[in-house]
Order: sequence, then structure tokens, then C-alpha cells
Amino acid sequence: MNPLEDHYLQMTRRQFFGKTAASLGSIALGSLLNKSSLAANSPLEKGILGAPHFAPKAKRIIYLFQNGGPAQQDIFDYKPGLTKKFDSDLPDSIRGKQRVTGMTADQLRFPVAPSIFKFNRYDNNEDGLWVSELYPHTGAMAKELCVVYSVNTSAINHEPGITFLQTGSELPGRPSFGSWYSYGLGSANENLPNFVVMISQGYGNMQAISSRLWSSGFLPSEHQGINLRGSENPVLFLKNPKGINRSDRRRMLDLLSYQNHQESLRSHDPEVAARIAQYEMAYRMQMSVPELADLSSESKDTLEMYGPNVNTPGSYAYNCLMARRMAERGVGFIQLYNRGWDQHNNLPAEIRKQCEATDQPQAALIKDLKQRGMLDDTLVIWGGEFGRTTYSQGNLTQTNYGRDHHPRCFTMWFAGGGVKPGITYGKTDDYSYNITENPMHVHDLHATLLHLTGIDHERLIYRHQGRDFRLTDVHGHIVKDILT
Amino acid sequence: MKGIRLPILSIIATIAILACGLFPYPEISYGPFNFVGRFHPLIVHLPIGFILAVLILQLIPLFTKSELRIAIKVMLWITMISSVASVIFGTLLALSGGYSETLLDRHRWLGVGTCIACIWLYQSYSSKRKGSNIVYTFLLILSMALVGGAGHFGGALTHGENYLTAYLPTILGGKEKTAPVPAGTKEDTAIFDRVIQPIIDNKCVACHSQSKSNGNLKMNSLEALVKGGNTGPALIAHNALESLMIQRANLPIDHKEHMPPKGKVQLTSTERETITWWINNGSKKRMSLNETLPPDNVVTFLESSLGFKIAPPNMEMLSWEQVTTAHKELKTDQTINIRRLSLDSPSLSVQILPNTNITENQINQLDAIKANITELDMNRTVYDDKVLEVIGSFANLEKLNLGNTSLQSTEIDYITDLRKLKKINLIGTKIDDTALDKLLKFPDLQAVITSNTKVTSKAAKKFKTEKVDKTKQLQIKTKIKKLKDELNELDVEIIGPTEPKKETNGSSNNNKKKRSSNQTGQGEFTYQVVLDWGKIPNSKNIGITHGGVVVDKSGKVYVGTKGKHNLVVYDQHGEFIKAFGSHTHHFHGMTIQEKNGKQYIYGASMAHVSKIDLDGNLVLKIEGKKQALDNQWTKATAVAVTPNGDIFIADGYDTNVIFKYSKEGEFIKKFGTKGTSNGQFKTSHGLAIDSRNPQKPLLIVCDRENNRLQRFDLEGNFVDIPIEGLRRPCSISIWSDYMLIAELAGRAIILDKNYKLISILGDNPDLDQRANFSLAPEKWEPTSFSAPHGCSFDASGNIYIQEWNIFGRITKLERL
Repeated sequence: MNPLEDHYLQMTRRQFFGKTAASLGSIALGSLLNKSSLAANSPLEKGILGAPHFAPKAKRIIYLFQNGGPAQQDIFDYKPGLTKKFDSDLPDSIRGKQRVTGMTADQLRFPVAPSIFKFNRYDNNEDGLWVSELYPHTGAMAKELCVVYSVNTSAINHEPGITFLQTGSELPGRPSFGSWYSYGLGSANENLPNFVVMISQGYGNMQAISSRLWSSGFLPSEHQGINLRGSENPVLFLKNPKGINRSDRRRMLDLLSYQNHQESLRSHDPEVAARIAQYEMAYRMQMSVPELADLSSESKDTLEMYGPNVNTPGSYAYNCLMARRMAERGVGFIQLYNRGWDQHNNLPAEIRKQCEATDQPQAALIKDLKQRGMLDDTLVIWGGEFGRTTYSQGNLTQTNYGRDHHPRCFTMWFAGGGVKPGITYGKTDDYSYNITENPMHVHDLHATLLHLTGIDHERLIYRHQGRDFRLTDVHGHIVKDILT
Repeated sequence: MKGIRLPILSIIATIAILACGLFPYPEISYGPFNFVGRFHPLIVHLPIGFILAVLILQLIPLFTKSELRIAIKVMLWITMISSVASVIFGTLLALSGGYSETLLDRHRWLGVGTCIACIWLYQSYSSKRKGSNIVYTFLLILSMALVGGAGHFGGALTHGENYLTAYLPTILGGKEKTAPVPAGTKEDTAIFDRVIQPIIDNKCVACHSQSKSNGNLKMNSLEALVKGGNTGPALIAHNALESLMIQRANLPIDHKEHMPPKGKVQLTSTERETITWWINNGSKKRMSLNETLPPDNVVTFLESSLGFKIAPPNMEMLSWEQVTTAHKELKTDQTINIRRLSLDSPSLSVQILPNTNITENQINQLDAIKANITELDMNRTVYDDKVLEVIGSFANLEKLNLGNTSLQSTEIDYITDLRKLKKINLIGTKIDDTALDKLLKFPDLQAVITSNTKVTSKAAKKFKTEKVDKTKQLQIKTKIKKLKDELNELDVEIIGPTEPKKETNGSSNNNKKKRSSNQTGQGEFTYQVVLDWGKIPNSKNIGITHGGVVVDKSGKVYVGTKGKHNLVVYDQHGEFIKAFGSHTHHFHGMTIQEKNGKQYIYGASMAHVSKIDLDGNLVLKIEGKKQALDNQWTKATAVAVTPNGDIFIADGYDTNVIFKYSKEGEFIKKFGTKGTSNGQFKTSHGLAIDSRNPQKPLLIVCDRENNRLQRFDLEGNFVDIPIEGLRRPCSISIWSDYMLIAELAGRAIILDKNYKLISILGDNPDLDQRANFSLAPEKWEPTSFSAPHGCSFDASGNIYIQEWNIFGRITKLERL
């Protein structure tokens, strides 16, 4: 088939109107060259929406994604009553006929494994927050945290689980949350991407994550997340090669851009426009990224607050500090992935290391934002793709146990950005197995988060392949109880 | 028979009514009387109406021939009965007090006259004697005149004296309106006369003025407000939260102490906020509006009352269409990043990119759209004062980030017109503590970021307490109290189980547990309430406490009661030692003094003042009635003894005169009268000798109902008024440099040598409990006093308080 015809067949209605009305097309191109390919009427309006539907409480989001599924009952969901039930069988009344994963489905019994960790009570703005000894720094921030015990998901394995949390669908191919955000609101900083991803490695069993999770799916490509590498050079090949200076680079880009414009005028393919925008972004990032990654301006106190690993690129501590620096510089959606929570066995030993690496940095991030007067309009999110079972996977001893995937309830927390500080929300049963009060499904979570950024989740829509798409698809209720 | 009986009845009625007129009207607060009395205004209109009707009916026969005799007689009868009832009810109403005496007298005598005329009117109409017609006609005309007079003065009592003539045209003899006090200027505004007093005149003065002062409160001048009424001063400068006039206005309208009372015209919320703001800013007669500006609605109100502008005018935001049009004309460059905040409003967020050196010219380019800028981020930029001055005109700015710039405290003056500012980020700037003082001026400010600056935590703390919205605080406190009450109502009553007896050793544990909660006072003078101090074995309670308390050198505590135990002695732990005989009954005011190594207690108990030794033996007795005719007294409330042994006695519950006697009990002199001027008292309730300056010992008088202390030299010459605005001070104890005052309206306070308040003890938040004689023990809160009456420090600064209470309440406070 003729590739040109092929292209026309794939054309969306938007592109069709864009092409047939030549004047419209040139206006569109004009704005492409300036800012976003989808800029609204006035240069004062950005993103497809132009501006949030209503005044946003959170101007930026820092999502501390805990990849692998942290065990809620060992950190936040305090069940002191389980100590007495050590090694007893999980009652049928609790599990019912719910499915479990193939990894534990043929276990002969499901022995209850109470957490071996001691819990402490921290004052919050209600009747206190219980946090285990694994998270003393995070616990000490109880007055800033909104801890939700009742998040639940539909997926039972990692890949669909993360995909669901990130895109609102278990099936791959939808745009990531950050892409939706960037598409809707555009960027507050022309010199850095609006959706940035950073990854830190954990301890023990790690699950794969791939760039699909921060892809823009069917949204224009410039809204995909930019993955900054955990090394001295956050972006590879960003430096000019030897013998080429910045003005040479500019002249090269101008020529390239001219040719791309010609192509864009001919085909009206938005991907060409996205390419132009990305080249320009890369050019600006040549200046902005080195400045971003230069920690020499941070005070000693600040660095100490994030703990000893803060100077190691690629560590969770380093990423948390970078997250704050990006937030200061106007990056709208900062997504950290921290791997290593998939503790099917040897949980006590592994979760200890995992928590030690995350506790101080994330508490420091909240403190740091607060000190800088940024916490009130920055939303910090912590949580994984699901929780873990109360029954032990594999051998249960007094000192060791493992836990399998558990989608029916898990704990997430939020801080700042229009969420009530110092509260808890939702309740689980005595086994931390089922939700007994105020469930928050992933779709509800998405609806609520979009609401906090000033977006009505039912009005951020993209038409693709003949149907309308939203982050929340046809679901999602805003959980008003946790909003300020 | 009937013909005889009627005149006799009329004569008896006349005498009874006259007796009503002569009734002395002490101020009595007796519920049923007050209740019935309030029907006076209702019933009083019956005789007025009927007598007028009688007059009309009398005129009818002049035109037609009709016989109306029976009708007239019936009406005259009703007139008579209702007028008698009116006089009785009126007498009861007058008992509740608060009326101007002159007006009341006039109204009373005219009313009594009317009533008597009505009695005889009926009598003469019924009589068939000769000449009774003439008498009847005369009485009818007379009673009409009397009704008119009584009605007029009755109206004046209810509505205020000037009610009728306030709007009388000057041509008809109305008073020339006194020229209003000039409003002044923004720097020197006649805030009280032009803004505050007019509100009070409209809403409060009808019941609180010269002619009628309910609760003994007059509100017709600033001085009168400071002086206050029965429950204390109406206002306390800088503290609207504690000022009764605001407290009462903020109560829910159904609360019985809400003011103005339900049914009267209420204060508007703006008026309330205006008064609150005025009190919190010092409640001065004149003030400068440069220093502090109130919230928007109050500004508008002030401007209309004063007639000049005090704040920059509100700036209307442009519509979004106007913004986009205006923006096209702007020549802003890349360094200024402007975006729309949200689709539901035309407001803009502006960011000057970091590391930009922004000039006045550049910032001026925003002029056309400045009304819409609600957020401005200048973090890490470089600018000068001119730029700040321009920013100071962005009137709708709510969030301003000047973080990491070279801003100094003084430069904040450039932006003080930004009255909508809610959040200001000053992180890493060169500001210091003085910046916070300037920031107090922003009325809506909710967040200030001062990390990494020279601002101290002490200044931050001070800023927080001063900035907090005191009215809202009070509203929340009221809500909490209401919820607590609701909670109490949920309690189930269980009768039967007895408290386990405390063992002396085991009890220390118990006390420790309670220690953390039952503390009161501030700073160095923080105290722990000792629970259950001062029981009497085998006795339900210690009897009515309405007296004094003193501590001897060994630490024994002597408590004067009005119960059967008379003067009771305890050790410092509250263990009962003994009680004295009836010659020590009701030691209302007490003092203790050492002479030649022996200690003596002096007690004032109304008719006499006694001096006893520590074993209770009577050493000296001065009796009021036995004095020379001119120098008699009957209700001695207090006694004080000078270093050389001279004795002062206050006749506090009667003449208020203070008498001086020699140590042998010989009369020397007397001074003081009832009144409100210097050297005059309204209940000279307590006395104390202040020898903190040994060269110049002074006599201090608790002038209770004037809510102040007065100082005299030992010859009785007035020196000064060291403190005013107290809450009904009853008695004083002095220890080291400090003075303790028991105040009847629910608290005790400690003042330093300069009469500066340094600690408040047991302040009772519940107005119903203050000065409540019959408050039952189950309602006592360890840390809120109901009616402190007697007080004493011991040698180490611990405190004993005895309260005016029918069940007997004595409390020990241990200094922490």
C-alpha cells in the first residue's frame, strides 16, 4: 500500500479538519513552533485545557511509586490482634472464595503471619497514627500525612497492577497518568520536560519496569515521561560532542527544524510536530539539566536531612532531592519508581533494608517542601501497585515469613497539595484482608488526584480509534473526605 | 350597706397604693417578682385605654340621647382594678433595678396618683350623693392629665429619655444637634466617637445608659465601658476575646446572656467585627489607621462612617476577553511567564524566571493586566525598590514569592497595600524580626515562610499569637464548650458505689496522675491544684464560705466560714486541726500580724471586728454600734493593720466609709464615701497594707463594684488608682514583690510590683459560673474558680483561695 494513503487512512478527524482548513492548519503550526502542539487560544493558556477547570490545590505531583507491593501490615496497617493468632489458619469467613495467585494457590494451609515489627503511635491531627519501627522518620511526619488504608485494585500481578496504577487500565497501551496531566495542562517550565521519571533500585526481589509505564500512549509523544538516568549524566548524549559549540548546534537544529516544518506542512502529522518540539526541548535541556543535577548549591543541612545516600546518583535519597529540585523548577509531574518490594519470602530481612533506604529521604522530602513553603501546593503520593497477604507464603517461623500479592486492600499515603493533613481514611478487617469502611479504588484515586490538580476527570478526554478515552475510563468517584 | 362599704374599700385601697409609692425599692433579684413585674408594661395599657374610652362615652350623650351608664360603670370598674394591678406589677418591676431614680420617682408618683384617681372615680360615679358629679368630672379630667404624665415618664424609662425629642425639629424647640466630633484624618481618626459609639448608641444604649443601666452597666462613654458593670468591664484593651461586650454578642442568640437580647435589634456581623477589631487594636478614643487595617467589610463600614477613604480602592478584575486583548498589546519578554490559573476565573499566575534582573520598565509592562494577577513568583530574581513599589500596586495579589532575593525588612513597606495577600514566601531573604511586625498589617495573611532567614522562633511565636483570629477562636471555644455540655448530658448516673478510701501512702500515686492536668497560671506563677484539700472529718462540707483566709508562720491555715465550725484551722496538707468558737463566726475579712513574737488574727465580721491570738482567745473587740453616733458602722467587710498596730476597718456592705483606730481600739479618723470618683467606693470590700516599700507603706482598698484598687497613705489621703478593669476584686494578699487578688467574677490574678499582670489563675470561661454563690460541688472544675473571695499566699508562694459558696469551697494551689 502507498505509505501516503496509509497515512491518510490513519488520520484522525482532528487532523482532517486541520488539513482541509488551511488557515486553521497554519495557526496550529504557529503555535507548534512556539509552545505546545495543542496550545489553546491565548498564549496565556497552556495544554489542551488551556488552564485547570478550577483553581488547583496541587500545582505539581511527586509520585513515590513503591514497585513490587509493600506489605501494608508490616508498616502502616496495625493489627495487634494478630499476634495471638500466630500460625492459625486464615478463617474461611475472611478469605471466602477469593482467588489467590498461582504462587500460593496450592499451599496446604494459609497460616496467619503477624508482623514481627513493633508499632509506635505518632500524634497526628486525629487520634494518632500507628507506624511500625521500620519507618520512624516517616512516622514522625504523621501530622502532614493522610494515610489511606483502603486502596484496592483489580489486578493481582505486577505488570497489570503497575499498568493499572499508572494508566487506569490493566491492558498496556494507554497514556500514563503523567502524560494525561502534561497533555491537559501543558508545562510551567519551557526548559525542562513536564513529566519526568527517575528510578531507584531496591533490595531483594525486583520486578521489571519498562518505559511503557510512562509512555504517552495515543497522546502526542511530547507528553511521554522523560527518564532521567541515575548517573552523573542524567540524560545521555546531552553534551555537545567535541568540536561542536552551542551556536553550531543551534544552526544544525534550525536547518533540521526547517525541513521538519516542510514535512509537517505537507503531512500534518502531529508526530512531526512532536519531533520538532522534542529537538527544541533537548536543546534547552542542554542548559537546564546540568544546572538541575548540580547539587553544589544545596546546603549541608539539607543534604544531611536526606540521609547518607543523597550524593549517590540513582539512590532513592538522591531521587527525592532531585524531585524537590525539579518541583522548584516547575516540573509538573515527577514520578519516582523505587524497586524491590516484592517480598514473597524472607520478608522481615528484606523489608528492613527496603525501609531503611526509603524512610529518611521521603520524610526529608516532605520537611524540605514544607520549609520552602511548597508543600501546600505540591502533592506527594506514596504507594505500590498492591498490598501483601496476611497469611505466610512458604514457611512460617517466629522470625521469618513471606507474603504473596494482595489486591483487596493496601495502604497509600498523601501529603500536601490540598489533602487533609494528619488524618487516616478507610478501615480494613482484623486480618488486613478485606476493607470494612470507605474503600478507595484505583479509579477513585485517579479521579481524586486529577481533582486536586484542578482537572475534572470527566472532562479530560481524548478521542482515539473511534471512542473517547479518559484516565478514569467510565469510573471514578472523587473521595471528598480527604480533601481540605 | 353597699353605700358604706365602697368608700371604706376605696380608702383602704388608697392607703395600700400610697404604701406602694413609698416602698423603698432595694435591688432584689427574686425570680417570681421579676417575672410578674415584667407584665407591668402589658397591663398598664388597660387603664390607659379604658379611661380614654370612658371619656369618649361621656361625651356621646351630648349628641344623642342614649343611656350608657352601665357600660361606663363597668369600664370604670375595669379601669380601677387594672390600675391597681399596674401599680403592684410596676412596683415589682422596679425591684429588678437598673432605672434612673429621678425618672422612676416621677413615673411612680404619677402612676400612684392615677391609680388613686381611678379608685375615686369609680367611687364618685357610683355615689348618689350631691356634688359627686362635680367630683367625678374633676377626677376624670385629673386622671387624664395624670395618665399622660405617667405614660410619658414610663416611656422615657423604657426607651431612654431622649427618645421622644431626639428627632424633634429645631423650630419646635428640639435641641440643636451637637455638632458631631470631626472624623479627623487617617493618621488621627476619632474612631470611638465616629464609629464605635454610634453603633452602641443604636443597639445598646437604650438599656445601658444614665436613665436605665441594666446590670449596672452604662455604655454611653468609653470610660463607662472600661468601668463595666456587675460582671466586670465591658472591654479589655487588645483583647476582644476577654471583653464581655464581644463575648456576649458572640454567644448564640438563644443563649440567655446573648446581647443585645433576643428580640431587640441585633448587631450586624460587620458591626461586631468592627468593634472586635477596634478592641484588639487597643480600644482607643482616637487612633491612626496607618498602622493596621481591618478586613474588607469593616474597611467599607469605616469609610462610610468616617467619610474618607482609608484603604486603596478595590481593583476590579478584567474579564478574560479583556485580559487576552490587553495581553496582545503587552511587550513582555521571555523572562516573564504568565499563565491563566483556572478556567473558572480570569486570574493570572506570573513567574519571573529565576536569575532575571528585573527592571521597573519590565514589571511596568504588566500594568494593563495587573488587576488579574493573583500569584507572583519572583524566587531567585534580582530587583530594586522601584520594582517592589510597582508590585505593591497589584491589589489582588494573594500569593507572593520573594524567596532567595535580597529583600530586607524595611522594603516590606512598599507592598503594604496588598491587602488580599494570603501567602508570602520570604525564604532565604535578608529579613529579620521587624519584618513580622510589618506583616501583621496584612489582614488575610495565612502563611509566611521565613526559613533560612534571621527571623527568630520567638518572634515567629509572637506573630502567631497576635495574628490568630481572636473572634474565630472564641467561636470555636464556645462550640467546644457546647459540645462538652452535650457530652456531659450523655453521662449515665450511677448512685451507690463509694469512692475507695485513700491511703496516705497510696494517694501520692493518684495525685501524680492528676498532676499533669490540673494546672493553672502562667510562667513562674504556674500552680498545681491540690485536689480535695481541707475536708472536715465527719462533716459533709465546711459550711458556707464567705470570708477570708490567713496563714501563720508555721504554715497553719485559718479559714473563716459562715458555717457552724466558724474559724477552721488546717495544716498545710489540708488535715483538719481544730475549729474555734462562735466568737469567730463569719470572719469576712481577715489579716494576721506579729507583735513581740506573738501572732494575732484580726477578723471583720459585720457588726464587730475581733483580734484573737492563735489559740482563739479574744484579745480585742471593736463594735460598730458602740461608736459615737457619727462614727457608727454595721457591716464591716475588711480589716487591715499597719506596722505600728493601727487598725483600718471598712464598712464595705453599708456606708463604704473606712475607719482608722489605734491599736487599743480608739477611734482616730474616717474617710471615703459611696461613689465613683477618686477616694470614693462602690463596696469597699477588701483592705490590705502594702509595705513593699517600707519607707512609704500604703493602704490598698478593693473598690469592688468599681472594679479597681485605690491606694491611700496611712493618714487616709488618696494617692492613686494603680489598676482598673478588674473583675470585682474582693481581697488581697501580698508576698515578696507580688500581689494576689481574689476576684469574685471567677478568677484570681497575680500582679508584680508595678501592677503588671503576670499570672491568671482559675479563670472561669463559663459566665454562668462566675460569682455564682450556689454553684454545686459537682460542677466545680479544679482549674476554674466560681467566686474567689478570700485569698492568701503562704511563706513559699503557695496560694489558698476561699470562694463565696453556699457549700463551702477552699482550694490550695501549689506553686510549681
